[in-house]
Amino acid sequence: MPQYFAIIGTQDNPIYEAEFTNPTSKNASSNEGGFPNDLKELNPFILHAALDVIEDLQWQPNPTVNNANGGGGIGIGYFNSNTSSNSSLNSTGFLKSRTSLGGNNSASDNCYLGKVDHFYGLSITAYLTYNGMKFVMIHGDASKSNTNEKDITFNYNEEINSKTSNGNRNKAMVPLDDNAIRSFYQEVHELYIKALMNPFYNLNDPINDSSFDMRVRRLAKKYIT
Amino acid sequence: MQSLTHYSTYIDPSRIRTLIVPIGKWRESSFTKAISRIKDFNEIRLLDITPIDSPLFTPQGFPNGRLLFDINIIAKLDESDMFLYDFEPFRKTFIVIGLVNDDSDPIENLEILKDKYPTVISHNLIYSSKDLDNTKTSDANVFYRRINEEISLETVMCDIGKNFLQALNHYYSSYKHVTLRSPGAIGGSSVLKTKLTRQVTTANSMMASKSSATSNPKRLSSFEATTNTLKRSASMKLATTLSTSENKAQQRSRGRQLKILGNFQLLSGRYIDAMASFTESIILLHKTRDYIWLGSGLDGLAICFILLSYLQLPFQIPEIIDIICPVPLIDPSSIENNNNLNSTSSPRNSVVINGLQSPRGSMAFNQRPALNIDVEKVNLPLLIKTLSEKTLYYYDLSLSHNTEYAPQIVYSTCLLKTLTFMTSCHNGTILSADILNDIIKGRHNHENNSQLKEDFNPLFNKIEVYAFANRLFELQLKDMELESQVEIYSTLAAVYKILGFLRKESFVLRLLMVTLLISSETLSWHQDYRALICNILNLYGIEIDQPESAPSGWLFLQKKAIQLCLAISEIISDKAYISKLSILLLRKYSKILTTAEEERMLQNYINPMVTSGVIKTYWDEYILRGVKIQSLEFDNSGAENSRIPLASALINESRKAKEISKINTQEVFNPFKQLQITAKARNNSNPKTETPPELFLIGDKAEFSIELQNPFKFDVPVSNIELNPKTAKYCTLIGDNFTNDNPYVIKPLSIQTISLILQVKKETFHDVHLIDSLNMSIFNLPPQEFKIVSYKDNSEVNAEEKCTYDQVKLQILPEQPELQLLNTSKMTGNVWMMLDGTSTNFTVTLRNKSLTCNIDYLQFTPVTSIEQSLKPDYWKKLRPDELYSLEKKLEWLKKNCITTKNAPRTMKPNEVIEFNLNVNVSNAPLELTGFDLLIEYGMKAADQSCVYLKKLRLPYKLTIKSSIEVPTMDIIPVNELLSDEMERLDWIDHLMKQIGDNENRKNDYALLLFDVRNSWIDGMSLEVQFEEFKSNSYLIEGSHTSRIIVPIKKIDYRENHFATTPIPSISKGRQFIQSGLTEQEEIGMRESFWFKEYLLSRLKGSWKLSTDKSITGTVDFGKFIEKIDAKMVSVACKGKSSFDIKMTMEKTNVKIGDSTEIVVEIQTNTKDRLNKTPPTEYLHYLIFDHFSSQALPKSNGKLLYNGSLSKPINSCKDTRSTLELIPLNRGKYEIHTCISDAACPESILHYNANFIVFTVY
Repeated sequence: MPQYFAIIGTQDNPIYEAEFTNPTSKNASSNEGGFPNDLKELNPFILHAALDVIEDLQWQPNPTVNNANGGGGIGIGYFNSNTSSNSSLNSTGFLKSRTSLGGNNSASDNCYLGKVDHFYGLSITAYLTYNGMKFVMIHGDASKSNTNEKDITFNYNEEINSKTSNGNRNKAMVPLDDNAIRSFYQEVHELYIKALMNPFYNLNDPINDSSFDMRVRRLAKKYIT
Repeated sequence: MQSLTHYSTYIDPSRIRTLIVPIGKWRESSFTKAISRIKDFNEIRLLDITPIDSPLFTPQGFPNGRLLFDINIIAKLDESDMFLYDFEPFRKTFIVIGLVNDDSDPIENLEILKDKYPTVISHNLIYSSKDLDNTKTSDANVFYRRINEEISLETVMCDIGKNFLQALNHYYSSYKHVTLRSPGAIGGSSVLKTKLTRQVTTANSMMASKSSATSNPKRLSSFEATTNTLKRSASMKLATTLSTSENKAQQRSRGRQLKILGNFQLLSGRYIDAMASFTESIILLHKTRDYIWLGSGLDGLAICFILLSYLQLPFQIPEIIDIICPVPLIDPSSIENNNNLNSTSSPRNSVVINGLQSPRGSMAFNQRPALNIDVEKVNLPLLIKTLSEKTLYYYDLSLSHNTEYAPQIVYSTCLLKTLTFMTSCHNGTILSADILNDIIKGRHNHENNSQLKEDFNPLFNKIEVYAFANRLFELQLKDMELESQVEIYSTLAAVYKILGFLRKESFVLRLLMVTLLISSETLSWHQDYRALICNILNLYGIEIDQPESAPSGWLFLQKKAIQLCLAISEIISDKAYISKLSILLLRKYSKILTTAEEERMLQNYINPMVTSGVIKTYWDEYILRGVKIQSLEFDNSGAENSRIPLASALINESRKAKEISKINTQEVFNPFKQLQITAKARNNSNPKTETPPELFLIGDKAEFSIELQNPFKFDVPVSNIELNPKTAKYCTLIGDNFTNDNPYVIKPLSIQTISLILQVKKETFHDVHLIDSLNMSIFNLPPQEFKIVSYKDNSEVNAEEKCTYDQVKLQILPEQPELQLLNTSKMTGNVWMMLDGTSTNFTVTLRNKSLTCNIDYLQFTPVTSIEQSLKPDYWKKLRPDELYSLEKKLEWLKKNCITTKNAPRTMKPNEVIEFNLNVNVSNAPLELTGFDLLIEYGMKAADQSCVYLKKLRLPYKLTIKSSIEVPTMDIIPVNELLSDEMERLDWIDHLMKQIGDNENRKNDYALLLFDVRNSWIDGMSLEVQFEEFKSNSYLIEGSHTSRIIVPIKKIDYRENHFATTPIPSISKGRQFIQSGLTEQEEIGMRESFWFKEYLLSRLKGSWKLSTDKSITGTVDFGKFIEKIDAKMVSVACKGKSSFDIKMTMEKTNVKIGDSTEIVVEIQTNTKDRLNKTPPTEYLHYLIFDHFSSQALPKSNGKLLYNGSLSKPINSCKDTRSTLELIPLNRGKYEIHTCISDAACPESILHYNANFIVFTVY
């Protein structure tokens, strides 16, 4: 399943963007394993919109876990994926952990916000550094990419495809491996801090370093795809 | 956005859809105004309405109730939701009101309305034309009222309400006996079934899978289990009302009937009745498991709760609700806390609510008393939310059914209105009157201030609301009707805005725009679109009205957003925004636009907008990146300022002086003030970084190069380039032959240079004209002024803040006079050959070429080649005497070599003048190869602001041929008197005359000998003069040398102080010159210098050419006499040496064998010698043979002497010494004497130049 990962600066400016495709995809067709083209364009918008939720979470002293699951899988705490067994994550707010209420979570854990948002079949996870950088990732839907992309993506560019098959409507959202994602974020955070220590690098500047990109992709390969 | 989109409220089903249409000739503004007036009265109390004859709907039945009008001006498509009218009758438009402002026939108008809106049940007309009293119709549906009168308008609305109630009564009667069918059953396949993208929760999906067959007895039992409470506790009452013989279909039909009755009662304001109807229908439908109708009934009930709360009427929650879903109660303790806060509304819900569970969970509430619950005890907002959830849950359940399913529009409407309800509540801790008011009125413009309070515990927190909102995205929204999609998106946007999720809002607005964009329906222009575009741009941080600022944030998003807005603008053909947005995109986001994108923009937007005149100016004001002016005129002669005159400001000086003199007399004297002012004046007139202006004369042509930049990825055509009006006064451009059809094209992403010709036509005099902008026409737009933007700070193409403007300075001087050399007499090609020592006159003819300009000022300055070739530090390594002679020479060259006579001071236009030029090379060095005659001339400016100065340099070449030269010179003493017969020689004659009888006076004279060579080819006669002595004329043949002797009188050394007078310096101001000589050398130098000066000042020579007597010249001895050595000085000076030796002899003719005696008297001149002890000098005698000039050896056979030739003497006093001689041989001898140091006989202290010559016979 493809991922779109971005580091967003304090002024909503993207510092780094990357798309991770699934290298294990068997089909060799060009776009296999990646996002469909129209979604590629939409991804930044989805990610940008999710920043609102992240910012809201950032200052939540004690985010309540809302169990109002009248059928939706979107519990807030946030949007913990249905399959996630790690319940401690649900109550881990950013500030809450800072005030050492985070229980067994180590200090570095509390930056990870878990799943914060979703849009149709896409899940969005986020990680917040202490200087306000937002690491955000859109997790694509692996199962969909094999079937009909139009089914899940919000088709906005072409005329409405009314012939879209209805077969796979009720797909579950992809279960996310929280631990792996958290590890990924933490290591990217380390990379980011290293980049930040460069005296020629200013906060909020885009990171164009190819080695940074390479390392992030390597991490993505290791943990996610 | 108000009129374009609809913000759904929770109580929408209780509002009467009303359409207002204009009849007659309305202006949009006045119609909108009238609508807003009517909207003020969209809530009518039943109390105010005349009772009607209908038990069901008469307003008397519930005077507290309200009629709520939902006033629209856009008609909904009736066909699209026709299938819903049975299920949700409130979707129908019930009332149409024609707003008439002319006096057309009311009957006719009503007919038209009925014809156009046949499904509408109540047609009304409001006449608002000026003369209302003319025609009165008795028709109850026609009203004559002025819109502006409030009271009358309210009455009209009450009457319309009454009409509606009557019509509704009629309408409902047709429903009474109809079997109501679900929308799915009516619409069939055309109805869009709810499609959920998420997976239904496990429990639900399990149920859904099973509920596909509701008749399945096994399934039934499981359902029974969930609702057994109902059965056990409440079924007794039901049992009585529903006879067991009634089959399920009848019960269902009855339930449905009651539900829609409830809906109608809601519309008619009879809320208590509606609640009763709904409750009853719910009981029936619940029993029959008619999910979709059950859900709708629950929804209706919830609306009843809200409306009753709004009316502040107490009511009880029906028991069935508690059975279906547990009613959340309020913690008693918190009631007390809140009672004093707000008594009118239901309390807040800080209570822990037992999670809202699936129906299975209701088992846990068995022990609850199964009685109706007072509303005061209930957490109403939560209950409503729960009811909505329940509704949705039932809708979910219905989805597996083939016909009895919830259409997506129903589902989404329910989601949406619940969402708006939650949004309204999210700001408050209780369901206050304000919040209820907002819900009823559909207002949603809250300030989000919930974050301020510390322990703020809202009814629904932000994230809850957001999570609920997100459920809309579980639906496949794109499959829905455009109208519904627009409603969903705009409502979501409004909700996000209230929540403060601005990015979400922008995202949803973007989705909305995309939806609009891809819809096949044609959109007509509406102001709201522009508001929408503004809103989305604002949300993405794009400042459309501030094109100067650099974009910040996520540029990619902004670019896409603008492109989207552009597409929307194109669809609604909002030209103003198309141009605005496309220019914004080009200006700010050019860097991230691709070539294809830019070209498409050019093609689709820019070019059409330019053609249609919407874009009036070129968008990139930084196109002009540089202007250079290069003069095309060349100086004809090499001298500077020969063409362009130097302008010296007259006025400026006086201005400056004025500035300086402006000193406040009241002030205490400030010694630095003057300095400051002058410094300032200096800085002003000559700032260090300023470059001097380009100078031109009227009529000049210059190359005018313009650098134009195209930062875009398409060609930019430039069709016209003009100077700005300010500059056009002074210059014109030639060569701008671009036309609209044949423009100059700047290639994409390049800087190109265009060269034109600039013709100067008017003078600026002393002022500097600045060209800082050009008028250009780009893309065939009207000419526009562009400033020159300098390069330096423009590393980034559009970095607006950094740009600095450049300017080209131009100074245009008036037409100038031009001096021209016509002729120099005798000379051809300005070349002349001269004999050294001569001088020549020439006549120079000059002309003022200009036909209009006077020459007000003329000055002639000759500059010789010697002066030109001289290095500025020529004086550094010269000895003072050499320097003197050099500078003397220079001075002469400057003053006397070239002179002018009768030189003119002014000249008129086209005047020819002559003047004399005298070239004198009498003292000029032979190295002189020519001279330049520099003529500085000028005129005053016409405005008297300054004086112009031009230079004309006339070069002349000279060749000086040497004539008389003096190769050698010597001075000898006069030692013997010459015989009389020699007196025919001029110098002897002169000498003898001077000496006269006193033979001793011969010692006062010396002889100056010099050789004279005639280097010229012809013979010359030379005369020499020294004081009184005047020589004969000697004829010297060409290339011959002859010796000339001049007698000179000795100089008294003691009187002239040669040694102590320093060598004068001609050029003053050189300090601390150190010759590096010792004192003795210095003295020697002075002596020789002064002696030379003495000699040269008296020695004169002149010559005549033998072949051409007219050519005469003088001899410059100084030129040839390099230096005079000490020996010559000592010969010519009396009393110079430290000793004076006087030798005498009795007779100069001695016979062989006769003894003779030489007496030597020595006098010491210098006093310091007198103290020296012991005196250690020796006097030496030297004897020479007079003819051979050979010294005789000490012992020889020619002369015998007595004693030694060296004698010690005491120089401290005058000494006398004698030497006795006996000549042995015939001959002529000389006896010399000299004094040497005793210690070192080799060093001769003094040599006596006088010697004695005697003859032995």
